[in-house]
Amino acid sequence: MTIRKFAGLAFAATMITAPAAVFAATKAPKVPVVVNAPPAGKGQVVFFRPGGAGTAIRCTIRENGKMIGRVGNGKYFIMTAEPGPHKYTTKTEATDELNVEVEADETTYVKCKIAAGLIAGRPNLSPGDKAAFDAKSAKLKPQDMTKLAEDIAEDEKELAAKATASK
Amino acid sequence: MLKNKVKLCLPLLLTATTAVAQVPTTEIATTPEVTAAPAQTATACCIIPALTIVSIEILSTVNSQANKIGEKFPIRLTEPIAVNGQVIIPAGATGSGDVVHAAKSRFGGKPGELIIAVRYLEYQGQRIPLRSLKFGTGSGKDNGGTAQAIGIAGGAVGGLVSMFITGGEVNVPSGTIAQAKTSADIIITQPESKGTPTQ
Repeated sequence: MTIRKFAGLAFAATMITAPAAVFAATKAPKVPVVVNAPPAGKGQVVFFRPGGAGTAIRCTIRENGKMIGRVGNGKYFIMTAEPGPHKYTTKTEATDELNVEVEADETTYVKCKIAAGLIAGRPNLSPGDKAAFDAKSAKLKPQDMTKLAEDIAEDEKELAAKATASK
Repeated sequence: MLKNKVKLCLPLLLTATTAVAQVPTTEIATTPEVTAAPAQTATACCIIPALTIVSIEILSTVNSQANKIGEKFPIRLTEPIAVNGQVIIPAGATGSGDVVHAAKSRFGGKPGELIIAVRYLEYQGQRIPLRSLKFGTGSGKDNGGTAQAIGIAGGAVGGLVSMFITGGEVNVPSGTIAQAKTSADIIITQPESKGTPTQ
């Protein structure tokens, strides 16, 4: 009787703890993203979108009108950039711009958030820093760079078509 | 006679610029053979390597609401720049920085934004270009691992950053200590007293 009772308790304990053990085994702990140094003599910019309002809206980032990237909610991407001043813009129902100065061999962080707007939300590009990125990066996913390259190519086609139409 | 001597010295100084770069100033100064009225000549003295950490103080308040992109602000060297134990540039040398980006806070919870950069220190008419501004303790040590980036947005996390945020605006008060790096190898040409003959 005692042995049966003990076996029953052991079985119950296993059933209770097993799901947690399986969960721990399959779900690796999230670790912050390690950002490697840029290529020698170049700088790099980490664009990230830490979440918040306007989850369906993506920040399309442009420089001199040309699309250079797009960052969805909870995503990030890293772009190599020439050292010097850069002006990045993003637009939905309003346009926001950010002037940054990329330095050789250093990483610049740019954050995109969506603030409340009348129709589509207002994007806001703002200066970020390593600490802010590190605090969120474990929950961020890298932007699909293949898809991003396709989006950029598509955007270039649209811009070219518009330019042709306006002539 | 004096003019001839000066003419003879000039090519020597020009060609010796790099070679003599690391010779201590005192050695050059002791070579003159005569007691004479001092004359000012520029002599290559020392090289400050690129990426040397310098400690600077921002001498005027910079604010995301009040300042505009491109506006300049004064800076001052707070600790001497020394190479191999020799002071090359004493504390107190002044220079300039400017506002790279400024945007005041807006309705809808958009906080103020400010990015500033330091450009150069000036010492005896020579500019020492700077880069990589970081806010730190002013200890003169490399704080690359812990310091904040030059960009500050209201609402950003981090102790050093949040201390600059007041009322939704970013405010870097006058007297703030920060650190920067020299952006290239700099040969300092110090004017020094060079003896020239009087007879």
